[in-house]
Amino acid sequence: MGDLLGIGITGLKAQQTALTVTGHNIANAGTEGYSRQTVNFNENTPQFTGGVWTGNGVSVDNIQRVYDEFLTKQMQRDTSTFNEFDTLALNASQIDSLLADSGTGIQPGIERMFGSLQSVVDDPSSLPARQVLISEANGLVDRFASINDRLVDQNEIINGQMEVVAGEISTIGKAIAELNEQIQLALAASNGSPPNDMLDQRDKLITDLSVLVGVETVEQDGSAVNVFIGNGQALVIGNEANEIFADAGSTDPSRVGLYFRKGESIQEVTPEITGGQLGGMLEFRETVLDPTINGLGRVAMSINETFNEQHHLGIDFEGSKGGNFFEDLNAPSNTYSRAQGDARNEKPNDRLLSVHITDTSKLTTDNYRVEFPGPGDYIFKVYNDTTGEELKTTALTGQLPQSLEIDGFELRLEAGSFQSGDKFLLTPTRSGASNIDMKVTRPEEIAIASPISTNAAIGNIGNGAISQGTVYDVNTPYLSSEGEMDPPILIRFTSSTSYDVLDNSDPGNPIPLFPPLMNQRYVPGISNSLLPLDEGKTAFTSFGGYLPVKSTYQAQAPAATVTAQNGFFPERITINIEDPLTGLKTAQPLLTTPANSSAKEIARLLSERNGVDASARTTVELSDFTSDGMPLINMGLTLNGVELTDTLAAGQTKYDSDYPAVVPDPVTPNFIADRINANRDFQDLGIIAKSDGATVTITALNGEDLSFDVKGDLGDSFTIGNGLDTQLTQTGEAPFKNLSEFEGFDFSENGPYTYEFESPGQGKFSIELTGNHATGADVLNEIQNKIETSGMSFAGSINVELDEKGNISFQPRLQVSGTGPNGSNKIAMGGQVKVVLDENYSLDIEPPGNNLFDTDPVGESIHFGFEVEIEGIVEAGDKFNIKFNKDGTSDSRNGVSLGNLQTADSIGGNSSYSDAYSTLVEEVGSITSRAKINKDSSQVLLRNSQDAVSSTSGVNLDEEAADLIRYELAYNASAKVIQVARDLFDTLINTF
Amino acid sequence: MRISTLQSFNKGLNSILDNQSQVNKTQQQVSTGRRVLTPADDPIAATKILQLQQDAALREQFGKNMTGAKGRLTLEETQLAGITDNLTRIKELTIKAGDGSQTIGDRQSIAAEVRQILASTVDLMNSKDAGGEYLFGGFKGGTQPFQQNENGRYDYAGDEGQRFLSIATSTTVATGDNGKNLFVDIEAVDNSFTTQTNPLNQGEGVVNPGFVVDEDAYASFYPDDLIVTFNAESAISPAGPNFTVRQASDGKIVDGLEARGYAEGSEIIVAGIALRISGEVQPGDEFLVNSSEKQGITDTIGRLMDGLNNLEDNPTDSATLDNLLADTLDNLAFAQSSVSQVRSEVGARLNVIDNTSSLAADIDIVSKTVLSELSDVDFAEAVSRLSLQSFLLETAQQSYAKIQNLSLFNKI
Repeated sequence: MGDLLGIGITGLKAQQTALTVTGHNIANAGTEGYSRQTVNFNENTPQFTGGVWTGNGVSVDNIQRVYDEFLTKQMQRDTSTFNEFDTLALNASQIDSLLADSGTGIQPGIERMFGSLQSVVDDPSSLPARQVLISEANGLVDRFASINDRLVDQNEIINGQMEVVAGEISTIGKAIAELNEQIQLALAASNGSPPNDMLDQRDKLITDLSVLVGVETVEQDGSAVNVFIGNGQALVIGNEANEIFADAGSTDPSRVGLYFRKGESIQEVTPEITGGQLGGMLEFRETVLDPTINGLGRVAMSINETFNEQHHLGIDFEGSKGGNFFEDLNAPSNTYSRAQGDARNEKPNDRLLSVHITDTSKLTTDNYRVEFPGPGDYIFKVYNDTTGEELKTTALTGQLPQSLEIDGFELRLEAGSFQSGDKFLLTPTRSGASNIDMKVTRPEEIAIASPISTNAAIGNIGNGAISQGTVYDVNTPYLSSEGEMDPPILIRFTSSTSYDVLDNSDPGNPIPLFPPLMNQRYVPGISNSLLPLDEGKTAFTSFGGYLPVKSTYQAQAPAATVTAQNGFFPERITINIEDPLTGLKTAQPLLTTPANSSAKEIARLLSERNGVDASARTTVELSDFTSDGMPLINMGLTLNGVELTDTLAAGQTKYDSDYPAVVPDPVTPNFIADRINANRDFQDLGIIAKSDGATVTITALNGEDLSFDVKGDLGDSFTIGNGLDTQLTQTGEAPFKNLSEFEGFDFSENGPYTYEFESPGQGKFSIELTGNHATGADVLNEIQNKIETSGMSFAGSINVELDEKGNISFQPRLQVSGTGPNGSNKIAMGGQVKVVLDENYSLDIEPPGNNLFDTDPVGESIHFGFEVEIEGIVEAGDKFNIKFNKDGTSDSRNGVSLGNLQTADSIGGNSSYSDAYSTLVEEVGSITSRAKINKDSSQVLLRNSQDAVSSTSGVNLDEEAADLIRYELAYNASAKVIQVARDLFDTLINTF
Repeated sequence: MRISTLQSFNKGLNSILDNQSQVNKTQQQVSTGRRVLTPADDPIAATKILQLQQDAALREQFGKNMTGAKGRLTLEETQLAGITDNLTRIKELTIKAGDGSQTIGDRQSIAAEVRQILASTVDLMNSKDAGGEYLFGGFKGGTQPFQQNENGRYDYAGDEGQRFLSIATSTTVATGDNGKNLFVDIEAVDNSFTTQTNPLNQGEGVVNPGFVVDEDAYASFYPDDLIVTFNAESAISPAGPNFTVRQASDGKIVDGLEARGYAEGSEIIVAGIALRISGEVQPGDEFLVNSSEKQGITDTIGRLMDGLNNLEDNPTDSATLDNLLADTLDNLAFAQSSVSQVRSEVGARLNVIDNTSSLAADIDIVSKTVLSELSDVDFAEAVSRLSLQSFLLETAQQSYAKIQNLSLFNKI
């Protein structure tokens, strides 16, 4: 009976607990992460009384949560996958709509710029149309800048979010570690009864963590859960939590990296992190943001470079050469910003690298990496950082700067103590879109016209027509001066199938070019390209005639004849051929030229060799003819054995009949020129002369020495120079007005005025002009003095010339005079050798310090830089001119070429600007679309696994209602048992 | 399967949200008329759309170029027609002047009319386009191409440039012709010449175009060129500016003209031609005379006028006049054929533009259709989709409300 009461009480207590659990379930029906709990009842141990086992009631065995570990883990994994794609899709779709938006995209900007360019082509002299082009180009630049700004902002946002998320991860990690500890304590205290709600909380925290990052969990000792992220980095071990934090990336400071801190040690884990929002951000940055910034940069760079290059080939409204349309791609600040050292490189941080863009058509959108892997500090490797491919392994030569060509850019290692372990990140295209900027500001500066103009002489008998010409290089000697073609070219047909290309500086006397281009073949009936193309040939010239310190005295006969020598040193010349593939140089047998060889002879010796074609030309300038006025002996001048100052009887055959018969005193330049040109020997030898009235220039077209024998009184003299002027270039402030030989100049005002010049074989010298000079002659004197005292060695004195634009040039001139009644003075001048080398050929010249060539001569291209064609029937004597396009304000040929860039395959050899941009849009679109699909599918998976968990562990209120009724009934019944027990007891008591 | 209460709530909610986002997207498509809202909707179509849009923009630009080119060519054609008419009128007058009954007085009045026509012809040759640029000046659109010099003759101051406009990706069309080709570089019955000042000259002297005074003398000299060189002043006595005339081919002195004194503006007659150098000259200066078998329109008319005005009614002059008139008729015929040749070229260019333009219009229609297929929404389909989706959304909402009312707690 007492038992019955006891049993009733156990039932009552057990049902009460069950009702509590049901209530708890109902209360937590909406709690996230809650697992419904169930009560497990247990029969109490029976009692053996009265020979039978009597039941002893019920007790609560335990309260269990309905939980499936595998389903929960699956759900956590799905959570992390879904959040990764969700973050990626969210961020990518922002860029996706940014790029394709007609208000912000690049495409409409390109179209508008080229549209306005076409209007300029249509009406090149309209300044308003040019102004519109500048505005539209500015608009395009702004579009690049604004999209780039948005992308950079996006990067900043990602950087900020990564910091926040890293903080949250650390906080959650700490909370899990604390729960681990509490759960251990609780388990110990409850003798193994599970603290269900704490377990739920811990699972909830792990799920929360999965939202942020992919995690792996491992249960330890049935109580603690260890949490790992990334590549096995332990965020939580038992009740210990480690920290993860975000800071500037070590390879790339502008991209935040993730670091794992365990005690004192810090490790960068950025590449290992996957899953969750963090994984999504990293993937977005790697697959969308960076390629987009680079791709956009590449389009901008390509527009920048190709437009500038074509712009350089034109001339502007004022006839000046086209400058940069956009700012220079390779401005120093740009080149340095494209390379950055790893933060972990050994200190001191003194390595300087730069990246120069050389060919935008070869650029990729990838980033690159330079590593010094060791052993030793010399070997370095270049990798494509995006694909991981190793591109080059090279060693430092020991001489900085050292440069290396990679995919359209040149990497320069400028300075610093490179060491093994060093790493550098190269981002050639990243800053492209932010660096593009307008250079041209005035509408006049746009180079729409072409610098050359061609015409057929009106007297042509044939019907040959010359093309307008195409310019492809303005850095050739022909086009390098402003506002002129130097020299203008005359094409003269010598028969219906042959032509000469001549220097037309003096239309009265066109002369061969140097090197000559004569007797070329013309084929009637087809279009003939007349000028040599760029075949890689290079040319350089020797220093030119050597001016001796003084002339050579020839005593009167019967003294032995002395010969004046040209003074050239002997040379040893080595001709090298470089294999273009291996870079290996092989040398031809040594060539020696004897001392005092004529330029003609040196050219002949050189031309005998393979790959070398040399020509020679000798030029001297004679001026300042003076006479002492004494009629005793007038000046007598003999050139190469031909007396030029003789008086001949009528019927002579030495000169053409129209020669100047009377010898003036003093001798004049015109007279000398006329005599030389009229002399029949000289006509055969190709010795010609030209006089401007003050100076006579004598040229031996074959490079023979020109030697003079001068008779006369001591006061009869002239000066001689080698005809090669040296130009001075300004290194400091420009003069406030042009220097002139007719006007004084005060160099103390706004100065100092510094100039430098290069003397052949001697290097560079600099001078500073000072003082106030009242007249033009004083100014010339000042310049002359400064040059003479500059340290340059020279013979004679310096003759300074100032042109109309104030440019300074000089030429050393030696005075040669008569010797009185006995003997004469002799002087010989050698010529200039022009050496044309085939591609891959080079010369080494010894000994150093010779007076003929540089020891390591650097060649210049020999092509003209433009191409013209003639077609049709031509006759001997037909002439065609190629000259500077003066006043060509209505010419838009270069504008047409600029316009063609819109559809040209400028990027990667197969894409126009727009193609490359739409490819970029397509790529971002594909990634976004894929990310959205992945997001949707992973969402379905997540919902499924959430359903599965919910289905197992979730509270069903109907079920709980039923339980409530069930347990209430059982409770009521247990109460009834107690009542029955009491009734029994009462009955029994009442019987007494 | 066991369903937890939270799950059934979430499921109902999710289906409402999913339906909502679909309805929203379809609604956006219908309201913008665009099927591809962002490239992610259809990356491949998006690229094609960008390309087609670029092509369309290019075609629009080419269309503008064609309009510009057409305008300029039509203007040129009109001016050339005017010039042809003028030449025809001069031809008639030339024939009239050849009537033996005409006296010098009659011829002078004819010359007066020729002068008027010449002036109007030069006006046409100097005409400007809509942008104020000279039509026939080559690249020198800002310089009046035909300028009358002090001798009453017209010099060509333009160059031989010819402008082109792109009217399709690989088609360009010339939008003009230079005055030299059209009006100067015209075959002539007689040999002619041009003159030139050497750019290296130190002095300021200029040379006029000159004219042939003695056909036979010039014919025997032709086709050699002449160079007039100024010598040192001391070459003559008393010292002063003086010149020598040489043959360009070999430098021989012509007609013994050596060290002749120079009086500013005086006429030099050599090898049957007369030319005049004026202005200050320096020793060493050169003036070049290049022979030519061509003669410009204005020179032809100018020479005719001279003849009509000056040739008297005597047998010698009559013979010269007959000769002149016959030559003039031939030269005018050459001039007309030069002009009509260019006119036919202009016509051909206009044809090319028309053809290209109609081709572009065809392509435009096709590519618009493709563009529309790629980017535009199919309204019938989209609207029916929208109504289906709205219906589904409503159903989801209603069923949600219904299901949430079902609870055991309501019954106890």
